[in-house]
Amino acid sequence: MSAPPLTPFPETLTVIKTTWPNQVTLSGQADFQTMLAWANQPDQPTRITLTPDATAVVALPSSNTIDSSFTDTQPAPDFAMSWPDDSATDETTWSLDVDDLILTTPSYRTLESIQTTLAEQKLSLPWSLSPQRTLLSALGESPVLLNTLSTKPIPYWVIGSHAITGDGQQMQYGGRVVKNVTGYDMNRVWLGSYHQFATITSATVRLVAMPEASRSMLFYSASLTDMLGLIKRLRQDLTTVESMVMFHTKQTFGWKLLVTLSGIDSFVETDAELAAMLFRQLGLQTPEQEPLQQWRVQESELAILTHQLDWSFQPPAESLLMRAYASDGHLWSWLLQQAEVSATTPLANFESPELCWVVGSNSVMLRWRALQWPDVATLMTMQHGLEQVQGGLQLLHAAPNLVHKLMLWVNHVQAVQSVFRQWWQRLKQAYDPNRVLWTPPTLGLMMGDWTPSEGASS
Amino acid sequence: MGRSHVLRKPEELMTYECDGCVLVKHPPQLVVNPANTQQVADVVSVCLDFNVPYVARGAGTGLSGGALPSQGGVIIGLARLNHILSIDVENRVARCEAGVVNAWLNKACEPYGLFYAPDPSSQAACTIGGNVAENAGGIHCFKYGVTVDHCLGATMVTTEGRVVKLAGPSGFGATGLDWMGLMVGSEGTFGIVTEIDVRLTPIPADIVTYLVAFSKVAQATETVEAIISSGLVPAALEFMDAFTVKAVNEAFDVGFPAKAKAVLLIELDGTAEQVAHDDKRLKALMKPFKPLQIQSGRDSEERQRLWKARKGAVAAYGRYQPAFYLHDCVIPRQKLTEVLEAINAIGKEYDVLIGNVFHAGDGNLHPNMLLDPNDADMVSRVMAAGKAMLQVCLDAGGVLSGEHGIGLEKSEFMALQYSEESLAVMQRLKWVFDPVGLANPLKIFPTRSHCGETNAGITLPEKHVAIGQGAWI
Repeated sequence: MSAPPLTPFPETLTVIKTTWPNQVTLSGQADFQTMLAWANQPDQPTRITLTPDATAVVALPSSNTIDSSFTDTQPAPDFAMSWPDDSATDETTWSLDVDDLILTTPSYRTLESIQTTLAEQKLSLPWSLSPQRTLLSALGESPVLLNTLSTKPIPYWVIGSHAITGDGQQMQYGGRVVKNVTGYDMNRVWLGSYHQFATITSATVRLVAMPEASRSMLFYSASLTDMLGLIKRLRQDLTTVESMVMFHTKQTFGWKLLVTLSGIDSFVETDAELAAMLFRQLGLQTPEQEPLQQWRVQESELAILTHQLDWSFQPPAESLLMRAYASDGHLWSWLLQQAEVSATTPLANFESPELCWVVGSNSVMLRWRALQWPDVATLMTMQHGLEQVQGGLQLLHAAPNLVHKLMLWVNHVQAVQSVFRQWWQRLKQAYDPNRVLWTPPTLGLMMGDWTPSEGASS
Repeated sequence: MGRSHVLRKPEELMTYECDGCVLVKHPPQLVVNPANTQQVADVVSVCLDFNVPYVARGAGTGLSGGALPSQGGVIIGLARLNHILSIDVENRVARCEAGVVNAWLNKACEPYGLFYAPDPSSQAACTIGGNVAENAGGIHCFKYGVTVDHCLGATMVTTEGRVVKLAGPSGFGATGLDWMGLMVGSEGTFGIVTEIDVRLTPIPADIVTYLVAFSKVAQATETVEAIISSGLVPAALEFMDAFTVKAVNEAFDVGFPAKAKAVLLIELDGTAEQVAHDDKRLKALMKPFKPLQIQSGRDSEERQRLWKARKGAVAAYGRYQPAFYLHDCVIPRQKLTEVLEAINAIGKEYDVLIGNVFHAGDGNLHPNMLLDPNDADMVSRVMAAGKAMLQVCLDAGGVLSGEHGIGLEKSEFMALQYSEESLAVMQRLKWVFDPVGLANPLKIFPTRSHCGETNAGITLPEKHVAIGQGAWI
């Protein structure tokens, strides 16, 4: 792909390394700001994009409009820039206060590397997400934490941030204090916005002490009803539950439940035994009648499972990912209804999506893969059902050839969202007036900023 | 809404000229008390038509002048929106109107074994809507979080007079953007929240409360630091200084040792096993700091007796002066000792009596400067001392406010904390939700000459018209 005519890079830009085709590693925050200023020049045909894993920033010529994000083949970026790798810790933005349980860190670091550093001090950032995510990715999406049952959402933990808006303005919000109502909470604008208004270059987060003990177990059941019964008992009887994630995928047998316990060693031990006993009492069977020890998930396996269950992180291109949201009690009833429809083929009445329920999160992730797409009538039925209990569906990812199919549902949701569309447009105008920063196509679709063209259909 | 719910006589309007911050006064030109969301929307629409600024007001217990019509205009009183609409026990969510008093909600939830965690000191009078506007905190927020952590959804009236639902009892909405989180703490400058879905929390099975007296301030603050760094998270971790201890002893005869220079109130809660475990840890953590006295209470009556000392502190100040002015800075908790020393030195320098009673676990200071509002010289010294204290806190890496908001009272200090560039970025948000600028104008930000014009080419409106004759007929 030939690059359109662009103004040369500013001379002040410190390029650490260049990997053709046009992969540019910059020296850090100051250069990011320079790049933004460069991209904001009049008539500069540039768009800066955070890649789905948010580890790199890519500038695309404006000819690659948002529309192209829904095409089958992503255009190769004309050039890209990424921040230094984890080995190059920036002393000016990394600061760990082990007494006050506060960490300031550049956002390009992966959660894995942050947790590794913290573990040396017996501290932890209590976010159960794919360890491969960067902090930037976690802040940009603000996804549901797998350990929602025992922790608060991401915005609670982020007490300070340094961000650069789309038009290159710097915003230092909050600081190293755990409570703050000094002006508007800018973190609430940046977090979960996929960096479409500003990019967080560093963040200050609160930490917790690592628990004395932690143990994870994986339970299986062919029956959704039985699995829900187990979840209910575990919530009632155990005191150390850190997380419960129930999931069903096409590749695996029946329903699985990942349970993590954490806290005081003796309490965790007691709860682990109790969980196994409840499993047996309820008559649940593992496929091979494995002894309790084999249900235990080792630390390395837990990291892999956590990565696999973080569905919104790098979803497969050829998939449809939606979040069904309603209060957990309503989702519970809804799941039971599905179980009654078919005890052996769960959720058969809407083209069997794969399902991942983080217990306590008030949301269920639904994922369809190619050749198993839901029809729009199914989606509308789900939407209406969820609206009855003040819930709904949220679109997180869609394969390009699905967009036309989704439009009836999109139009329905848009109809009740006109105020939000107006606010979103003003946010974009206020913080990224030249539309330099990338907007996720799913959000662009919901906000009426983009409608499918002929070229976007399959 | 009827004539009886529209107030216009000077004697009626006087009630609304200030909030809990009695040093700042701005009487409204008109007060209207709508009964429901649609009436609020109608009032906002009329204000928009006549270009009249408006301010929503709950119980008027705010401490930053946030609910004052500083530019004239209309106060929209939300006291009649006082219904608890539903309590969903299974999902632990309550839906209530903005004018519901915080304590009423807790009373209604108690039979179900649930409570609403944010508990500002004014919870017997303050309203949930006011709590949302200021992102109120409280004594138990160290463990449970502040108002924004407990708001799942809301119905609000936009500045265009439209009614919109933000998220809902699940806490999610279709766009994925955190509109609800943005509204909480926006001080009524983005619109008016009229109904709120709040998260409820199970009442802990076991609670134990301690009052721990120390002979030196540093022993108390270092105990706080030791608790924080150990990772132990008490439900409450409160501090009272020597002056407060004396005042409380005199007022309520709580029996603190005469030598006590500081007292911590510490509360642990959870399952019986968890509390027993934490109790051992806490005692081990406190031991090196040699407390003078430890009083503890486990049953409700004993705990209430211990809490009386903390909750009655501000009332006890009344024995010294008829009023007080307080700040609300938050500092890194490791700086408590040095900042308290500096605050006391400022008190001496300006000859101002200061009582420190605050949320030590959050580092959220409340230096109460006692004053006689009729003594102009004293008021002047208090204001000067207050500004000096703010600067000390900011120099220690702190922020201006932890739970009271900026309102009118602290707006001029914003430039002490934020750079002009950061303030401009923040101020653009006002334009996003209120491009006309009628919703609670002139709050939060310093005077316009500093930051009215932003790089996005967004110009905020300067001044609005007063209410014209006949506008409300």
